[in-house]
Order: sequence, then structure tokens, then C-alpha cells
Amino acid sequence: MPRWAGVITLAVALGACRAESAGQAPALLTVAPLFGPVIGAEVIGGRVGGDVVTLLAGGIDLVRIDVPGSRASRVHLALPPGESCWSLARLSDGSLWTLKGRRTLARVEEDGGIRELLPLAASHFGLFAAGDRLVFQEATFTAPRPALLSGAIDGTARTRWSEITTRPFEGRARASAAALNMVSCGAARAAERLCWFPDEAAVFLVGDDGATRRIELSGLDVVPPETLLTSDNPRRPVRDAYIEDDRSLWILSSGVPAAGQDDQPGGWILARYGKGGAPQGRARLERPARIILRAGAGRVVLLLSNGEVGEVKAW
Amino acid sequence: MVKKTLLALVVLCGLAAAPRPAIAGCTTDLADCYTAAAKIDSFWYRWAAGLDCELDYTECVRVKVVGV
Repeated sequence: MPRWAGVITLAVALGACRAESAGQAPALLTVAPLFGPVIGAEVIGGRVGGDVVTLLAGGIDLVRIDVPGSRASRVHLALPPGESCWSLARLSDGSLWTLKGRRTLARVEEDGGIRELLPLAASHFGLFAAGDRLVFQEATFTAPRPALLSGAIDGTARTRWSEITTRPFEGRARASAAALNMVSCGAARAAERLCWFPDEAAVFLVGDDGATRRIELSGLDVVPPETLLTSDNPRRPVRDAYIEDDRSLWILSSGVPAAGQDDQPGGWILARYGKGGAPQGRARLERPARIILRAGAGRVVLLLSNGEVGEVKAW
Repeated sequence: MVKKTLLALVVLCGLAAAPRPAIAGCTTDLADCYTAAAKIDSFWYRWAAGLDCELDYTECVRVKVVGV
């Protein structure tokens, strides 16, 4: 009897431990289409939103994807012919901003109208938001420097935002180094922002106060910078990232397709990490995805490479 | 003669600094842009044109390395 009691106690204890950790990632994730297609092959240059995600498509259109409502809509930005935008940022007051060209900050309306145009003193690579402040990535060719600066809408009184610092690349052309220092930032349901460099298997978690934690992401394929810059379909360790409510991280990584599948653009690997960066499994998607629209409640909703919205079961 | 030599040096330096190889169209455009910039007489305008070439290149590559 004591022997059986010990076995049962051990089983209960192991079960309790198991319940607190993430489940086992499957080898292959089946993607269930939800609706769409909602977007074509055009490049997504920016994204904002929570349940309703707004994408900047092809630099000239806003695509709104209402995940709970299973619908999408598209409006054309009121831009002069030949002009385009990059990046999207939504401030806490709901206003939506983008970069028109390199040196103009534009406030855009949900219907695509341009409400305000503000000239910037310097060229910029990217634009993000943190609460009521815009976060700018200036087009600079010297490193190390603060990668991101926050400030007022008019671009004055900028201060360093986060501890993310551009990296010098010895022996590499200035333009290549600048490209490798361009920052992407993902979506989050938690308070922290999530940003990364294109060549690293790592992300930066940035709190409201600018405190920054770098998290190394093990198990993701990294390619040399030369390959990243030379390929038409670069394999990026982090294509997109998302922080769930419980602060666990979902990473969409390029990976490689399974044998026999076409090498379509997009991410083939979905990986999960704990809030401290502990790996919690990675799985191959049966179809490639472009971004993570949301994660939570036991599922991950993805914008697939064919433009459809689909979901996979979380583990 | 000196001017032509300097122009050739600027072009060569620009091409040497270019990422090798790069996303085909971006790199080709950069090389063409540097070549055109090197032909500008004024030092400062030539320098500014070279900077514009680099900005054009990073914008071109941005689509691949940051866009989704």
C-alpha cells in the first residue's frame, strides 16, 4: 500500500508540473482557414491593432482585418500618384500615423484621407508608437547609436526610447549596415513592446519606462547577413512576433518548407517561448504565414502567405 | 586629368563599398546611382547625391528584410 501511495503521489506531482507548462508542440501544425483572402502579394510595410488589425499594404492601401468579426476591408490612401508610405503607428488617442516618403509624417484617417502632413528634419526608416508618443527610427549610417527615439509629433525634443542600440558592422558598406540595423516591432496584448533586428534570433522587450530586456531565441535558423541582403526571399529568424496576455512569446520564423513543398515567401516555423525566453516548442506550419494576427485562448491566428486568415491550435 | 582620376576613384570607392552581392535590383540601382553621383562636379552635391544613393538602397532592401 505505501508503495502504491508513493507512485500515485509521484504521478500527481508530475501531472501538476505538466499542467503549469506549455504542452508539447506538434511536428506539423494544421492550418484551418477562417476567411479571406484579405490581401494580395503586396508588401506589408506596417501594422497596428489588437482585435482589429490595420495593415499598410503596398504603401498605398489600408487593410483592416476584423478577426472576431471574420471580415476585412480595404481603403486607398489619398496620395498623389507615385507616392507611398511606410510604417504605421497608432497613438493612445487613436490617431494613425505613417511616413510619407522619407521626410514627411502623415496622419491618416480610417477612410484613407490624409488629415495632416508634417515635414521632418531628417530622413527616416521607420515609425512606431509607444502610448502617446511616436517612436522614430532615423536614417542614420553611423553606429552605435540609439536605434529608436521618441518624441512629440513635430519631431522636436526627441529622447532615446529603449536601450536598443544600432550595431557597427566592421568591413561592411554603410548602406548594408544601415539595412541590418533596421528595427521591426510586433504586436502585443501585454504592456511591453517587442522589437527585433532582421538578422538576429533575439527580441527586445521594452517596457513603458524604456527598460529593455534582450531575449535570445534558441532553436531558430540564422543566416549570415550577406545571405539576408542577397536573397529575394531572405530567411529571417524572426519574421513576426507577438506577446500573449500571459507574456509568452510567439515567433514566426522563416525556416524552410517541408520536403516536396514549394518555397513560398513567408514563415514556416511557429515557435513559443516563455516570458523569460525559455523555449516551449516549435512546429512547422503546413502552409506559410506572413504575420501573427493574434494569439490567445488556445489558438494562434495567422495571416497566411496566400492572403487568407487562418488559425492553428496553440500548445 | 586629376579631376577624371578623382571621379574614377569616387566611383570605384562607391562600388567597393556596395554590398556584394545584394538583392539584384537594389545593388544594380546603387551602382548606377553612384556612377551618376560621381559625375557631379561640386564636392558637396556629389557627397549629398552619394548619400541619397545609400538611402535609396536601404529603402529598396527594407522591403525584403523588414517588410512582411
